Amino acid sequence: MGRLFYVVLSGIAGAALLHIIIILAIPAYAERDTWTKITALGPTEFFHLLPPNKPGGLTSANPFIRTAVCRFDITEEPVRVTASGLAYYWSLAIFDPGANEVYSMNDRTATDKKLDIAVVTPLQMIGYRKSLPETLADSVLIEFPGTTGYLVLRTVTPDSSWDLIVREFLSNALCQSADAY
Amino acid sequence: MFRVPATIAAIFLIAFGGAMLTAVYALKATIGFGSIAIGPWTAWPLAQTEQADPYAKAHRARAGQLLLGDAEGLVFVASSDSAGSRLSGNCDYVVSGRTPPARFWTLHTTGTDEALLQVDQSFPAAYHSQNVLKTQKGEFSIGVSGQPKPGNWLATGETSRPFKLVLTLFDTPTAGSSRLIELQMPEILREECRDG
Repeated sequence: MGRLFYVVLSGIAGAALLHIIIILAIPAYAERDTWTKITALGPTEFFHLLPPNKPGGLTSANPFIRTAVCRFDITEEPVRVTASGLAYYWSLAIFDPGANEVYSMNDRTATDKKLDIAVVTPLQMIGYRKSLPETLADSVLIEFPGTTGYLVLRTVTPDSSWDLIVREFLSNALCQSADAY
Repeated sequence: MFRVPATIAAIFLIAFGGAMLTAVYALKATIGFGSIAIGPWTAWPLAQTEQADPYAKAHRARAGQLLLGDAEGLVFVASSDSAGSRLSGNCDYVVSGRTPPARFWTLHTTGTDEALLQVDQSFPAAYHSQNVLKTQKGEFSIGVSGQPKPGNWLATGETSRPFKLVLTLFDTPTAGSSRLIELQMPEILREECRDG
């Protein structure tokens, strides 16, 4: 009896320890996490339009949201993101590879409802503080702690008549390295 | 003779089995700590941030979805009605009241697997703040049912399984609310149930 008690108790203690280890290890070992799925989409510095409502996909099941995602690498050059045109609502969020939000904004927080931002490393930021190139004069500079990450541009379609407009907005959105402009 | 190895094997079995089951259960049951709950509605405003707890980080790594940023919106999920019983496809519900301030909101249903419910294309399966009928006071009332309802009808299809209601608020100050004002979320009241 005492032995059984001892076995169960040490089993539970071991289970608790392993439970914590599993939970902490999942983000590092997950094979279908956001970053892996985004990397699988294709090249960097390009907006990929995501299909809405694909089971197991990157987007949530919300039938009104349309999403475009762009993976970037700013080791060499900062990335500049622009979008303009008609959209019922748009919002943008920047994440690091661990899916932690670094920055987010929506059309109300942008000047003239136009999206024009540049994601720069702290080092590039120091350079830009000294002299800002003409092309980035109107952009909002966002300091990004790492070199790789992804940004998500979302808009909504209140009804199907917006589908085309929204598709146009998302496909006209540009995500490319800053010197390409 | 085998007492010591058998004891060790039993301890390992309990430890590994228990750890695996509880980890899977914990990730299925919740998105982590730090939720805000208003009535039956729950939201995780920190789930996409660096400050998210280990459970939230494990959950989002496993789900692999793009989460809404702080300035983008906030997702509230309800898997039970205001009385606390689970939402079932056999029952009719009325979602009524008003939402916290937001520029735009959407309401849709999902199964427990987070996928949309199977609903005939011609039936309304989702609502948003611009196509829902409201009273003069700005309140709305949506009938959630597998059977047609007068007024706003949110079809749940043929399912008799449990489901979830998902309310997404876009551009809302709710997450950063200092709770100086009481946030108002719609109530979910159960009407009659059919025999499954």
